Amino acid sequence: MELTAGANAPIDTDRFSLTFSELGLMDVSIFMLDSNGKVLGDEGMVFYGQPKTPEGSVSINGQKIDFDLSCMPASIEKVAITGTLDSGNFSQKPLFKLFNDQYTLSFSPEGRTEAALIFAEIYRRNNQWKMRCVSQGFNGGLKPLAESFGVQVESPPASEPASNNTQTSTNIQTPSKPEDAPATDKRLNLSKINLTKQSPKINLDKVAGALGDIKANLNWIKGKTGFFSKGIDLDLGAYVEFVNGDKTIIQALGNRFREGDYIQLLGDDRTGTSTDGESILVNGRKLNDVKRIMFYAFIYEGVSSWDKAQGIFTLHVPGMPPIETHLTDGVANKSFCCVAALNVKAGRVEAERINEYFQGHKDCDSAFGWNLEWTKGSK
Amino acid sequence: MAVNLSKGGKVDLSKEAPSMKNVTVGLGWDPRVTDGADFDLDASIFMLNAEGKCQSDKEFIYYNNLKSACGSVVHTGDNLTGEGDGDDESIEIALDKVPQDVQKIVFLVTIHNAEALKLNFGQVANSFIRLLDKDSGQEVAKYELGEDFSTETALIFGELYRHNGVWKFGAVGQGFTGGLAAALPQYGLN
Repeated sequence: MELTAGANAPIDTDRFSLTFSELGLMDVSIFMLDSNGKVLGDEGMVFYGQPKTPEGSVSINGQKIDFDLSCMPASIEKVAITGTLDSGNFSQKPLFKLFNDQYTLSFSPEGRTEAALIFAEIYRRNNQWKMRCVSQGFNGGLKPLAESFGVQVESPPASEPASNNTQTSTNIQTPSKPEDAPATDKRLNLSKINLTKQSPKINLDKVAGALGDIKANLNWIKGKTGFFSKGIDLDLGAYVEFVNGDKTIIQALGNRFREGDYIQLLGDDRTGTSTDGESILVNGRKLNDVKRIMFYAFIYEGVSSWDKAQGIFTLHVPGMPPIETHLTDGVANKSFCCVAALNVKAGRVEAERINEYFQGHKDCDSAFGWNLEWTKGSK
Repeated sequence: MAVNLSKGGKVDLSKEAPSMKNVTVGLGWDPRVTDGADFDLDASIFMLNAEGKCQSDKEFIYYNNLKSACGSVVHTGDNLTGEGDGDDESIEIALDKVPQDVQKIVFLVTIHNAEALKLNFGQVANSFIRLLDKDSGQEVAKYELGEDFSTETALIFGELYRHNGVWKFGAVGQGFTGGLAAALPQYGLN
């Protein structure tokens, strides 16, 4: 059943999910609201830095939001599902959907001026949970959105951060309750690290070996698939070079899905049905044995429409904000992009944006001195 | 104690408010909190005869004709945004002065420029119609339209009508698409 803007419908099950048809387009935040439409505190906001509520009624898992209404606190009357953009507005995004097996909510970019949108509300009405398609938002993005839910937002400090990376930082302060005195730091850290041409590197917080699982994710706009048109299929791969001089490749082509317990490619999204793109898991506890890992993306099928794919590569490092880099400046006749690297130097791990384009594996190999043998393969 | 009506509900004013002479009909909705065009809702009133028609366009009270020819129905003006507490638009009716051939007074609310602005009643929160005794300020009946509507851009919130010599108020909640212009023909207007 399609829910248009303004439409509402009952929810008949306590446990359900909503899935975004396109992932990586935006940052998803969920606000847990009381009868006045305001958050009660820090735990009232679910986002990538805090992906679930303490009692587990709402959690974000990749492109999916899972709900368990049976444990929803009685004080929560409404749950608002929102998306925000770092730059631009929703008119520059493709049509996307929020759906489960019962309901579909579609969001068209046409005429949109908002940089933050409330997609849907899950709310109580006469002892019944319902869902409404809202499709309204704020041109100013996250700040006015959060403020409308009673979250006070502090502007980022005017001084430039000393680090060599660009942080898009918005410190958010939830309303303090009287019993909180003396004031505790109630800021939620919404910062995200963007690696750009101007500031391409960042050191990870912990030494190699003390890091947990690092997830490298590539997501992109897959485009329409149909009888006559194929969507864009990007493959994520990695070149791994060990301290002892060993080298290997991780990619779906040639069935090279893992190397010991060092690194693993999580499936291959060839159907385009996955909304989470492709991911490679790096074991951060064993990075002491590694010299460098270079992540690359290549277009296995379809034209080299890097501009249409709008790829986003994200490193999820435990305890750190997501580190993002965008696949910009793609060249039409070059279907291979060396995206980013993890470099291990003197026990420190550094993430580096590369974003260089090549004809294929071989060109990239010679540019970075991998010295591997390449043969043609298919999957 | 006001009566909370649900869609289709009716209240007999001779029982609920026997001494009421002057009625204030209040219409309200929450203003838009998000960016975009304000929710500008317009109340229109149709004074209908036994055939369900307006005798002339003088019995059609709206933002360009705020008072009926007989003076019994007065629209107090257009609120463009829904700002402010309580009623956003109100209509005052002197029951005793309503001409005998007027059998029914219909309260229609339309969303101004809904089509171009892609707005509908499902996007407007907490809309209601309520009836007050103008002289005492007592609320007699209230109908919250809330959850019943989504894609409609015109809604009959309620109606006052004569029944066996007494006035009754009904919570209608009948919605349709199309603006004010689309509603006119059924009441014999162009």
